Amino acid sequence: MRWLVVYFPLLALEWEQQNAVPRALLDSAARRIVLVNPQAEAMGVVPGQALATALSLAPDLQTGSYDDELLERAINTLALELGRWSGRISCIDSLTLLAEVASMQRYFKGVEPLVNELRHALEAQQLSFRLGLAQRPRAALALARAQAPLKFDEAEIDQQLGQLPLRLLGVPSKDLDALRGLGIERVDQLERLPRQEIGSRFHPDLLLRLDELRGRQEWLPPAFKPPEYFEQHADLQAEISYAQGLLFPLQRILGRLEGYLNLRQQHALVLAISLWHRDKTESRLRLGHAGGCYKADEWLALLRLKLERYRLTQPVLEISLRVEQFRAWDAPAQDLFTPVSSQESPEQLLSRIQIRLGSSAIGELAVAQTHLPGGVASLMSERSGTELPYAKRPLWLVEPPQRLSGARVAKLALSSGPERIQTHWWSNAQQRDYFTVDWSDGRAAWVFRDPQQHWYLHGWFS
Amino acid sequence: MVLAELIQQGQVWRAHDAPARPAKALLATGFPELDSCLSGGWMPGQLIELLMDQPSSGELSLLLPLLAQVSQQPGLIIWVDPPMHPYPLALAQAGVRLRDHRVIRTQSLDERLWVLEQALKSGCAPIVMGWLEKVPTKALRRLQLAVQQGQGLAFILRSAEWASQSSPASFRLHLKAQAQGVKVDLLKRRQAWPTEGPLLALTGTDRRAL
Repeated sequence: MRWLVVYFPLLALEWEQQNAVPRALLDSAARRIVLVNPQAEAMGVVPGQALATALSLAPDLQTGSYDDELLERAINTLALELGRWSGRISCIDSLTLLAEVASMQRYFKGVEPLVNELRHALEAQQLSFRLGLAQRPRAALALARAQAPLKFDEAEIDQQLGQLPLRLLGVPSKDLDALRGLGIERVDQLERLPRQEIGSRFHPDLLLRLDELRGRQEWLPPAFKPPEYFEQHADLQAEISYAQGLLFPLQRILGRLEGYLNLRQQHALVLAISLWHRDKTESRLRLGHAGGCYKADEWLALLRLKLERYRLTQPVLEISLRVEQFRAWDAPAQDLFTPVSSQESPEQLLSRIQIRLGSSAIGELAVAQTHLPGGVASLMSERSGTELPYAKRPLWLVEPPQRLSGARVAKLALSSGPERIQTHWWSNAQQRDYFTVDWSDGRAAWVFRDPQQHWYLHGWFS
Repeated sequence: MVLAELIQQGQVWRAHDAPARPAKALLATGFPELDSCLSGGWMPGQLIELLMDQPSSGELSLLLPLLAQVSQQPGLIIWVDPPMHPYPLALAQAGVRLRDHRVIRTQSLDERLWVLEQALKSGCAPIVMGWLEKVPTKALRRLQLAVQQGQGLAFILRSAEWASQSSPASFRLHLKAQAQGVKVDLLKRRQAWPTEGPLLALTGTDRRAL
């Protein structure tokens, strides 16, 4: 069971149109019905009917025509989404996708849970679909078209293949008619005939299809290549006026994002979300993950945190999501000998804190010339005339320095100093004489005196 | 007072709470006298409360050897709302590697407790230091559970005026700055009685170097 085919028979009707009203597609001359949805079918509208007949049966029938561009966009989006379940996707045609599933079955603990999860995700999208599962792509495709019940046992699948009607193999209709005349309509009936006879009497495609079905011939459509950039757009069915309501449509897009990142073996670092309002104005949201991430669930959790404190100024009509920064996947460093107690990576933790508290809430410690507010680090020692001497510095800095009262100063017991620290003459010149003093309660303080003989507390030594 | 209340307040030590042996090795404090009081060193996975009469009573000097040791390995060292600015240059002088330090500033007590809980629970921060003032005992209990999950070292730094409040922390140390160093009294420790602690001569208060 290496190959799974997903066939969307009503995709042209159902994509971006999800409310349950009777709907039908017309042929290019706009005279006859070619495709109907279940609601229309229930009212008696069938493919091949004249438009006038259909309208008399279902007066509120919505009609449209094939939009190839829409269909292509739809199938590409679905291919991205399928990337969550498989690393190799092909578009067989604009309604049908092929996915290799055997290599993912260990991750999902079997093909059956994988298929169930996929089925669940597709059902949530309210699209009609049929699945076919087999050892070979052609067989999976034929089973999906035949609406055969899904089997996971190889022998049962082989039996199902024998029952398939020949018209599903895509052979010329002339041959089909000839075979029907012989009373042969199913695959197993055809297989009882001598191969040579079939080869000489019918179109060579017939034998080729049969071989592909049984695995005597290879057939594999080219792999789907995801685009270089990820940008997805969603028109909302109804205006959304509260921030939490955006989660649902965005969840769907994040599902596609996960498939896309999975196919391209990338992590997303920054997502940019644009919310479009009725007057064509746009609000922007940026969402970052410190270490990058591909999982839809994780992004959704971050998004939920973000939207909790986000207020919509106007109702939203359309959403688009774009990945601003990617990072390639790398295999996690694995050390077999240290036990793993850490459940979370530092990036995950910091991302969460950053989202809740804002990016300015997290600071780092670094020895940098410009690090200190107040410009102390850029001061130079007059004594040595070089960069800051690495003399004893206090562990805590009081920023900004606190002016000391005269009474306080009188109680200070100087224990070392002075150390003169002076800024460059070309920048705002400052001169300070630093002392270490014993504070009366046993602590040691770092104080300085400026040229005006004012005293300031600037740090503590413990 | 009923037993349940005492247990809730963390006044009763129950043998079945204690792992047969600590999940992680104890970390030396860098002061042999203190190590012997703590039966070997700082214990990961437990809340450690440092109580001070005023800020900068030697708490940072006390933690310096630990910071210097732990910062050599990967893992975040998180400071939540320290009352002043830690001076990177002084930390670097003491042999602390600064790369993985993060100083987090919050706006409210709720946020502060949230950050602490997340950091303690994550398991990717071997040292988390949080400065707290008045907090309900229940909140400390949550932090204790979080650190048990993450198995890091958790230091809660508070004013000594909360020394009389009951606390679920496994260790409570009272620091007093003195001219010769810092005096550490153990108000509470695991599997032992409280004790008058040692007087530690701290390198941070070494005033000769200037």
